[in-house]
Amino acid sequence: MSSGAQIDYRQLRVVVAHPRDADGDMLLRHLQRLGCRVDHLWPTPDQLDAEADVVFCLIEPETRPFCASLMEKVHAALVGIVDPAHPRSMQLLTDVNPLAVLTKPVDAAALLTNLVVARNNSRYQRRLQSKISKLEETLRSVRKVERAKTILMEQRHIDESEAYAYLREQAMKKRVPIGVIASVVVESNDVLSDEKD
Amino acid sequence: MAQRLSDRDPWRIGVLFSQTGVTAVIEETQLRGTIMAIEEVNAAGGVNDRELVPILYDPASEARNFARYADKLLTEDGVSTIFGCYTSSSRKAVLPVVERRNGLLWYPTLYEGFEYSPNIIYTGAAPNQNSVELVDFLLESYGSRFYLIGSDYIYPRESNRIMRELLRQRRGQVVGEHYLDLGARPSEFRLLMRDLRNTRPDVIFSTVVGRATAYLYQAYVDAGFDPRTMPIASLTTSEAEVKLMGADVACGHITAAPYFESVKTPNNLSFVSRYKKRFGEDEPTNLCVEAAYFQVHVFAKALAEVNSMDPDVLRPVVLGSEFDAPQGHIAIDSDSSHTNLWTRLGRANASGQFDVIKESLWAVKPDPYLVSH
Repeated sequence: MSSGAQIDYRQLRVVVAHPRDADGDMLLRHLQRLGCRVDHLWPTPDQLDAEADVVFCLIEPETRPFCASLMEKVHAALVGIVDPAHPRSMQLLTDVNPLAVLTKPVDAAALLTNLVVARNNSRYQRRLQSKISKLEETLRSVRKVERAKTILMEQRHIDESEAYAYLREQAMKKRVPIGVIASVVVESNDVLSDEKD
Repeated sequence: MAQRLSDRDPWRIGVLFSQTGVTAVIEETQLRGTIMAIEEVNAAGGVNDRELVPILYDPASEARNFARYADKLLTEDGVSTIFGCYTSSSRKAVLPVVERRNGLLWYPTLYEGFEYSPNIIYTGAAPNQNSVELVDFLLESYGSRFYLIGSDYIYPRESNRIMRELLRQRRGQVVGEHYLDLGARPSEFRLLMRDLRNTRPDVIFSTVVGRATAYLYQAYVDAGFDPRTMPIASLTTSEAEVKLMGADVACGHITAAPYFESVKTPNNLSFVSRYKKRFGEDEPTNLCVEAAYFQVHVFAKALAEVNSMDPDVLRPVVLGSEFDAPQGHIAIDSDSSHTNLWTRLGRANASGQFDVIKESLWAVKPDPYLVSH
């Protein structure tokens, strides 16, 4: 089973942040029929406290803080709902920048397509973000180890590959990541060189 | 994710190794290792009583085919796990596909490092697990003047960049660097021998892969050079390439790898004998077969534990898992998604096997970004 292509709706936690008009009722009814765990939330608070996979939210000036907080929250995929008749709808849409969008009046087919797209995009973004974090961590490590290596070379009058070997050995002996050993070398050097003044 | 299939349905897994084209010589061995492991898992009752069923395509040694088939596997064919790829170009082509579609590629081949993906499990050697030990040995045993010859694509070029850096750190020097097309013909290698004769390096570091490997080593023999004074050192020349070129042509040259057929662990003696029984007495094993083989078993073990092929569920238990592979005890490193692997140096002998001349005391932690090297 391809993990991307098929969604188990019964496992999805969905929040509908929309007034109880025809569209709001339709969203709730349809999502419930799909088998999702649906909650209604109106009016919107400043941020979502509960865990959710997908949030359908009416985009209007009053819901902007809520939508903004959702775009920062890694787990919830935001599907925006706009009223094209509203004079500032395009501006609002650009500001909020949801993962998918429905226009009022909402139709059932659009609901499903946008749910799928938003959720897949959200998960993909999360994977990319985790990759970025991992690479940033590696970059920080590289810098730290470089500094430690230079310090060791100067202090002990050893060459580059000997300095690396020393760091690797210490990391293995103490069973810690090399970044930890490097930090210790750098910090103790900073402390001791301050004492010289 | 809930299973809608019946609990007797097989686990479908993707397999992408070339059976035709310039790198088929080694990829078809990886295919065999994969199939053998699948057969073993199924013979033991499958995973949670469900058998593994491979969906196979032949990308014919073309990177864009790998991308196309990976996409097909992850969409139309409904699989999420793929065992495959040899060349770095094929892996780089598949990477955005598995990342976008949240698949899981198991990559059983040494490569140039400097990569990380949450959608790839790397079970082949990273540069610190082969190049570092090799360079130290070569400098000590032969001299400091290195000539770099490689196939013209990302892996050799990046590996040579790393080799230059390692040599600089150790006061070695690069006295020549030359790239040939993957499809290069014997005449092009003969031309190269002239430059080697003029330059007289102490070591030839080769990242030539596939069928062309045989042409390089044959040209060397025809030029009358002596491996005792100017060996070809490689990370990729395995028992498979040796079989292609002939044991007499390969004899005396050096390879660094986590595994050789001649490794004397009890696991390996059994593995080699089962492999030969299955595929023929004169079919040798090699580092790429071994990784392709053990990675299926690592997968099956993890799958049995979580009973789901959803990478979000499966990957966390794969990371940190351990296995007694033919090369020795290995573990998947949680930090990097690579594998703790044994480091060995082998010298090709007259029987087409490698004599292990150096080996690590335990499996070496991968450092794909050479943070500590």
